Amino acid sequence: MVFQVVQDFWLWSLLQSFSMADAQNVVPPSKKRAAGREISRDNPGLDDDEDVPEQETGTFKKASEEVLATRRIVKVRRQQTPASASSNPFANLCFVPHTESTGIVSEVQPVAGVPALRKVDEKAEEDIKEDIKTETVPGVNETGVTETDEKDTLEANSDNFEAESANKEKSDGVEKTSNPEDTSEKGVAGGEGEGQEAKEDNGHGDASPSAPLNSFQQLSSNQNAFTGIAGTGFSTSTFSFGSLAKDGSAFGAGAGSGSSSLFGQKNDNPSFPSFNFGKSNNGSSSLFGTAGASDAAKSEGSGLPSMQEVPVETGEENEKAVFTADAVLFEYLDGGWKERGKGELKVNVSTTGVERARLVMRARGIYRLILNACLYPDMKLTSMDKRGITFACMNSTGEGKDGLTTFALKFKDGSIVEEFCTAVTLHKGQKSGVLKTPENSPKASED
Amino acid sequence: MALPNQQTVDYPSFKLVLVGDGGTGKTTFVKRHLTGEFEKKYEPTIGVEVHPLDFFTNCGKIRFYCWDTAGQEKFGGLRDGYYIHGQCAIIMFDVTARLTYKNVPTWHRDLCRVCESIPIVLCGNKVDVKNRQVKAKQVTFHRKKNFQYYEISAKSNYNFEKPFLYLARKLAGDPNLHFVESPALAPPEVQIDLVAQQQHEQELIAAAAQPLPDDDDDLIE
Repeated sequence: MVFQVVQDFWLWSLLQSFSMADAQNVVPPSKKRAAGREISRDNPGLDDDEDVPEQETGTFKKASEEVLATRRIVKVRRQQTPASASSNPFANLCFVPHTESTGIVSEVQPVAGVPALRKVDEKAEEDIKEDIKTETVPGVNETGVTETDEKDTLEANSDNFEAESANKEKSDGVEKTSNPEDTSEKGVAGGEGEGQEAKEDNGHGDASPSAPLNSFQQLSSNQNAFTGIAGTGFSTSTFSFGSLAKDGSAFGAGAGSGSSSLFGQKNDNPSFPSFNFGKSNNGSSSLFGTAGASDAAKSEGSGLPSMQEVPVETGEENEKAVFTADAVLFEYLDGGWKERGKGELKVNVSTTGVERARLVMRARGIYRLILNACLYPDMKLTSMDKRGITFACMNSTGEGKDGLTTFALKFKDGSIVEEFCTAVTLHKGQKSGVLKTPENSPKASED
Repeated sequence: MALPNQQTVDYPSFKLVLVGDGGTGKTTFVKRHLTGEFEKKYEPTIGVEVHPLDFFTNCGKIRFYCWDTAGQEKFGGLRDGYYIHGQCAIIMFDVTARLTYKNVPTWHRDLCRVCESIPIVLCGNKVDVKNRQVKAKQVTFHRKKNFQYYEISAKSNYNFEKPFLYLARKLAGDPNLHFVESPALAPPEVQIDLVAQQQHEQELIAAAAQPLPDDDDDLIE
């Protein structure tokens, strides 16, 4: 009881903190997606199918070819959950206090700074691109510049999603910190409130003509912005990320874009212990190269110290299957048949010379062991209706049940039932069952 | 993540929260995985039931503690109190009942309020039923929120491993993770004595007389 009270209180305060966070996020009133439009059971119609396609068509839009040509790809995380703006673990990462260069955030106004950068000469762009490449972490380069498309964004999104979840798992107490992060978010939102709004609506900075261009969009969609940043020095670039980070999309932007050089650098920077880029990288994308991968391996989630490939032991290494077929397994329990799973049934015999045979069956898809029983000389098989056959055996699948249990197998057709009978009869009784062969033959057992 | 009285294991384990409207098949789905059984009877879950579910992967064994929560509001118990420290989630709806899909955003929102960003799988259950009310292409909610959607059937086992596989991959950070055979250790060689066998004879006869469940359509592909 006490526990429950405490838990309830904890919950309450948790919710409280979230609602505060929500309130703060809503400060720049958004016509798009905000807490005010939250879907609930009371007004499920809000999320009706009607507005779904609408949302979607607005979400991704491909820029014209010429725009694409002059652009670097930036992957931006879409807002995934109503609460995610406040809950984004990366938002904690206030870049501002951490590095010396980010101090500039306060000095350089995002909106003022970026247009200047955009003026970078088109010709110089190529050189700058080269600069970036040389600066980037190895392994990032190949993904640094790609064509913008919806898929990329989606990938980046899912990567981010994972990153967040991983991060979240790692620091279970993140809830506590969500408030400060919100404040910082809000602070920035003041500077670029509309930017945040636009970003919430769509991942691509360029896909929202309705919203005025703002620093974020420029940063994410404009190649010049990034190249300029990288080329002109690191301090500027960190500044840009500082601003990006606050709206929670820094990571997305970094993940797919040429800006990864910045992240590469950050990644190496020991002053970011809590920001694990490795985790953001779920291994499917090699954006962060080796550094990311190794990080992911050692600090993934809460429960996975390291998920390394381990050799698979089936336990059947010294056996060969003399019969295999798809079947459904039933167990006779309390006067009725309970299904135990569908999958491949095998009659295995030992290859080491020992005369030993068993039935092994695993559930399809998950390969869980559902039948693991020795054949024994007196095993009796009885045919049933509907291509079934029943027998008793001692199943040892680790469920801790002793004694004989009655099972039934159902096969695809009658001929397989016969084959099964033959296989079992042949291998069940080679120690003592030879004498009993006549009455245990498939023919006999069928009646 | 585990309940206090639940044994801990030396391999990675995760709290999985299973939510969705009542009658969408959450408990049946879990039971299918636990015992292989397909439960036709509907008994609403009260509060929550926690079941450990182990899977063998090429990266070793992992366990999901499935928190099978009540779908019916009146049996909700602590409701989102069960979500705390959830590390992954399955939101289930019934493709034969449109309202259950309409409520998905609510479940998702509640979940996200507590669990922030965890890997989530949306499952449309009962796809074996001929008369669907929610078609596959009408299921779009997951796209906005960036999680995975699977059409499943607890009855026919269609895709029934997919949600767990997806979550395992996400949690392990390994997109190539896959399930492998669970080891079948050599069963103890027991002498089945005649007495036991004769005692069992009765049951065998009764069992043989009892027809097997007739689920021919979803039998063996």
